[in-house]
Amino acid sequence: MTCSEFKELTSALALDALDPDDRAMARAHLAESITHEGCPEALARAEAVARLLSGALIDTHLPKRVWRRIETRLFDRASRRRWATAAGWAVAAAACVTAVILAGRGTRLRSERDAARAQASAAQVRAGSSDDLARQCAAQLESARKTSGLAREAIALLQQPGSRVVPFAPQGGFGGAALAVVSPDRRRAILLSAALSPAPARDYQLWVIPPGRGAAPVPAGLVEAAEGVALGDFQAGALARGALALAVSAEPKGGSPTGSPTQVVLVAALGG
Amino acid sequence: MVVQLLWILLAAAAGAGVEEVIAGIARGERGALRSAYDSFAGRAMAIALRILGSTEEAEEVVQDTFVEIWRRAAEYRPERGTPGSWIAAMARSRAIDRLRERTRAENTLRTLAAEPPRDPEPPPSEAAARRQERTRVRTALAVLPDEQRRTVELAYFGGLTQSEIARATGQALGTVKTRIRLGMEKLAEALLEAPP
Repeated sequence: MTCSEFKELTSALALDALDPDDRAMARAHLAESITHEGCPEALARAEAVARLLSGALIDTHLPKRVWRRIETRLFDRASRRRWATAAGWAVAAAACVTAVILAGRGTRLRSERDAARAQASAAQVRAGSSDDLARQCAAQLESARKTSGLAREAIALLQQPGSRVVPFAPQGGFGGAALAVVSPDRRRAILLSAALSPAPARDYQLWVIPPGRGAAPVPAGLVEAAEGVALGDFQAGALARGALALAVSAEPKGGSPTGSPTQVVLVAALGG
Repeated sequence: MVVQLLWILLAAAAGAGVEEVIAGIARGERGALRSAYDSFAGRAMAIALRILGSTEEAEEVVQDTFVEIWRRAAEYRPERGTPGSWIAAMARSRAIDRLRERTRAENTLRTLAAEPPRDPEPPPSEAAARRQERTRVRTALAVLPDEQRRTVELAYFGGLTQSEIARATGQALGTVKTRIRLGMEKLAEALLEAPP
């Protein structure tokens, strides 16, 4: 694509009206290390016009419920309930339950369960006390806080009295690790990990395992990349029924195509 | 609520601009988010409503937009546009994502091919600058030939690509491309080059 051809497309590019192939070619041209003949400027001009178009509309009145819902989504989850105790996690025992729930049924799972128990125990030993885990979390979040609102929310959650940090146990030979900051009432949980960055053909998906025998894992959003750390905000709706455990699965881009985890890679038990 | 009010009062007393409001959100100040909501949610709603034609869905888009603003305020770059245009672009993007989840061109045309929805009354508290901005953009759109204005609107408010507009309107693709290009160039002359 020449610069002249690119400049013919800038209006449609700014309006997001190019077909995917043309858009890809235009973006590729813009990224080329050549001496452009005014391409970035032409695009900036078209984008400036596109940004102004919404100004033609008259602002629409919003009912109060819209702001209330925003507040609820952002702020109320962590302060709605009291948490009775933050003592201990019983990670290994609950991880067994989770492994069984997630992985299926039958005696075949016994070895997986034992492995999960060992991994969870090891993670707990490595992590040491909850203070150690909190420090690990804070260190990981520090680099991301400037660019990620979610990182700042995780920091705020970490500082909240009664919040706790739970380690994830790797599953199926997965080589990564992760932690989650969980609010006292378990209505908010944020995952962080240095090993879960989404790839072009893969996403990591969050899951909540609700209490109750045979309860199916509830999809809870995708892991997103931030500065030096991957973060995952477990959706409030998924946590609404309570959570026995949290999990992460590797999925095709966009998330599980079936509504169930494709390949569980990490599990964290929250205990009863 | 008290903290929010305090933040708004302090920001007003200090003459804080809207860019400072976004910076406040980036620092995690809830009052700043409320201030941005008070200033820009109405426009975000107008955009979403125009694109989706559904009050319920438009309200959800506004919610999603402000949750995203809370999380991504640190990504805002003043050199790329005002906070208002940044928020408007975010609302438009989310509304179009929703629109595209529907049976795309068919529903878009159903929403847009008919008469545009009747304008609501501007709120009494509307700032003069906002009124002037609307008049200016509407005047610029009004002087475009109908087919150019309609094509630009189908792209901007309908979220349709050039090919989809061509299929939906029965026009040749080349014609659609030309109309978008000419329409946008005329808008640029009117909005970017002429004095406000």
